[in-house]
Order: sequence, then structure tokens, then C-alpha cells
Amino acid sequence: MKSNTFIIILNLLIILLLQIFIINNILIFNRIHPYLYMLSILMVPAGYNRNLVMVLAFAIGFIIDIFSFTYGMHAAASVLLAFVRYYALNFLHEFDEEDKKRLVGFKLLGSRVYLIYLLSLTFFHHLLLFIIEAGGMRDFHRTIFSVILSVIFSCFLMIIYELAILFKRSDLQ
Amino acid sequence: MFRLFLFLKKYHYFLLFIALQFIAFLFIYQFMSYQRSLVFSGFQNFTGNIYSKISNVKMYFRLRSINDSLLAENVRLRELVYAVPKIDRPDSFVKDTQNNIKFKLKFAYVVNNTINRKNNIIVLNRGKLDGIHNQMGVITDKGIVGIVTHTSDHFALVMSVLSEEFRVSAKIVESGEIGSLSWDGKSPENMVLKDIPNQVKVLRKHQVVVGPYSRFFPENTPVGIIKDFNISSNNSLIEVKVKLHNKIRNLQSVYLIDNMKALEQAELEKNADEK
Repeated sequence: MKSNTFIIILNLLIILLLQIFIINNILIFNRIHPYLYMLSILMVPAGYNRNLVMVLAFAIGFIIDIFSFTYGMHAAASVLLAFVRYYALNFLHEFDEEDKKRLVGFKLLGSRVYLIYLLSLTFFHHLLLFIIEAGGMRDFHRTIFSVILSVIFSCFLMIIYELAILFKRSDLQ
Repeated sequence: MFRLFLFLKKYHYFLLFIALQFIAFLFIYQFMSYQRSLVFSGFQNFTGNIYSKISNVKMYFRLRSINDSLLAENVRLRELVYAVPKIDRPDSFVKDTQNNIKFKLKFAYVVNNTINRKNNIIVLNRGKLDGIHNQMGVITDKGIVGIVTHTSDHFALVMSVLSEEFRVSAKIVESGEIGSLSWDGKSPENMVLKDIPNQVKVLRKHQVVVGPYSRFFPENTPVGIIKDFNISSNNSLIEVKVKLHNKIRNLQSVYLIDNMKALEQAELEKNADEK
């Protein structure tokens, strides 16, 4: 458990740095805004206090907000992500006591379920984020289009990150 | 209390979610101008209507002061207009306009007003203390109203144009003919222009203005239009019926004209009479 916390914090720092200094600058076709920082919430083990995770999500979102001058937008989206994550995890996987302590990832859920997990939660996150950014339901077709494309790119980034960094430390789990 | 505690225990996750979202949206509202402007524009249709109604009502109470300021401005502008010299030739050169300020204006509101007597009067809400004195001309934007005959400290009595004693020299704009305008005591809408020679061509709808010889009114102050005319008994002069632009019965605010050079003119005329 303790080593998991260490991994989460370490990854959080790396992910935040990546997000703030590199990925925030990416804007593809003027539409697609990929985000990586959700991964630091998504990888938290299911056994963690869900209230704590949600507050953590708020904090992470707000840090991103501070650096991209969008006060409150990412915080709101991240809180939604953390809120839905609890139900999504219980829906997608039968957790026993051992599983609850493990980081959520390819190894725990299996690649197909994990992909669904990533896509669906990122979709919720991006949907709220882009709707707030667009200022409501106006121009909704355009919003939903960029949401779908951004979800694909974000999941792509998260998978790459996981394969590159997280798995090297998988022996710590 | 216990039930509340149970409720909180049961739904604390959802309540925390709502609380955090609330905080986040508070931040969004507080700091993001575009999103805030959207919230505002949503309310604006609602509040804007209410505010415009309230301001309409407020406006109604402020009408008097607005009117006062407009009248004061008009007074100033009219003084300027009267001060501009008539330039016949475009290349003529005006040396000094200070000397041309012949008329000083003030404004007043009508307090009382009669139209059914033989000599009608109008009472204004300004008197000696406001610098009103006898022999000031009274006009509106549409035309002449009368001449101040008596003043008290706070009120002024005006001899209306609808008085049989009232006389003013008037001019028909189109022909330039000058006659004497007075009231025949019949209709409060019409006056009579006399002493127009027979041979002058007079037509209906011609404009009548104040002539150049008046001591009380600036030249070319409007009076009315010709409604009718008939050749009088001795056959050499025409009597012209002039419809006034002003509706004397509906007067509200008037301008008082102080002819700075009236005294000078009056003295000179008096001297001429004596000789």
C-alpha cells in the first residue's frame, strides 16, 4: 500500500510536468486537445478512500487550471471523473481484497476492460470539460466532435505513457 | 439529527461530489469572463426588462429636471442664434460679435393661462428675483406668446397675444409685406394682420413672422400661417387671417426675451415724438 502511494505521487509529479509543459501546448487541427493528467486519478487503486480520491482529483484539476488559466474547468471535469470512476470500477471488475490494493492498469483489468475503462471515463471528463469551455450546449455538434477526437488522442497518450513508464515499475505492485 | 447523520453517511459521496463541483463552477464563474458573460446574458433578458421598466418610471419623475436642463441649453443656443449677424454678402467681414448680443433669454413655466377673456393673461413661475422685468417678450419654439406687463417677486404676468391691446408688427415671408398683427377677440387660434396693401399678392399657407420694427421680439420669430384673407370695406387694404403656430391653451414652457437695446430704442422714439 505504501509503495503504491509512492508510485502514485511520483507518477503524479511526472504526469503534471508532462501535461503542463508539453501536452498543454498540443493542439491538433485547432480542435483536438489531448490530456494526460487523468491517468494519475485513473491509476489509483480501487481500495483507496473514494472521498479522498475525489478531493485529490479536484486538487489535480485545479493545479492544471492554474497553469492553463482556466480556473475551475479542469477541477470540475476531474471531480466528475473521480465520481464516475468509483461506479465504473465496481461495474467493470469484481474486486477481491487483494485486487483493491493494486494499481488500476492493464495488468489488473486486462487490456480489453481497461481500454473500455479509459475510453469511457475520459469521455465523461472531456465531455464536461469541452461543454464548459464552449459555454454550454451551443454549437454542440462541434463540441462533441472535438470531444470524441480528443478522447482518442488522450487515451492514446495515456496508453503510451503507461507502457513506457508504469510497467517498468510493475514489480513494485 | 440521527436521521440527518444517516442521510449524510449514506450520501456523503454524492454530496461531496456536488460540493466540489459547486466550488469548481464558482471558480469558473468568478474567473472566466466568457463563461460569466454567458451566465449574465442569460439573466440579462430577464433583468434587463425589469430594469428598463424601472428606469422608465424613474425617468418620468426626472422629466422636470431634464426639461429644465434642455430649456436652459435652448436659451443659450437661442441667444447665440440671435447674436449671429445677418450676412448679406458671403465675403463680408464680421468684426466683433460681442456687440451683437442684443437679446438675453430666460425660460419659465406657465402657471396659469386664460383664453376666454377679451384681454387674456398668462402667469409665469418667475418674477423679479429671477431677473424678469416688464416689457420682455415671451415666445416658445413655435412662435410668439405675449409681453410681460407686471412682475412680482416670484411671478410674472404676461399680456397674451390673445388680447385686444396687443399689437406687433408682422411680416409675410414670401412677399416681405409688413403689417400690424392683433387679435379680433373671436378665436384663440387666429389673429388678424391688417394694413396690407391691396396690390400685394397674398396666398394661403404663406408664413407670417415678426417684423423688423418690434421692440419685444427678435425679427423673424415665427407667428403663424395665412389661413384666409378678405378685402376690407375701403377696398385698398387686405385683412389677413393668420392661424397661430402656438396653441396658447396648451402652453407649458416659454422663453422670455430681454431686448438689451429696447430702452435705447424707446428713448430715441420718445425724443422723436417730442420734437
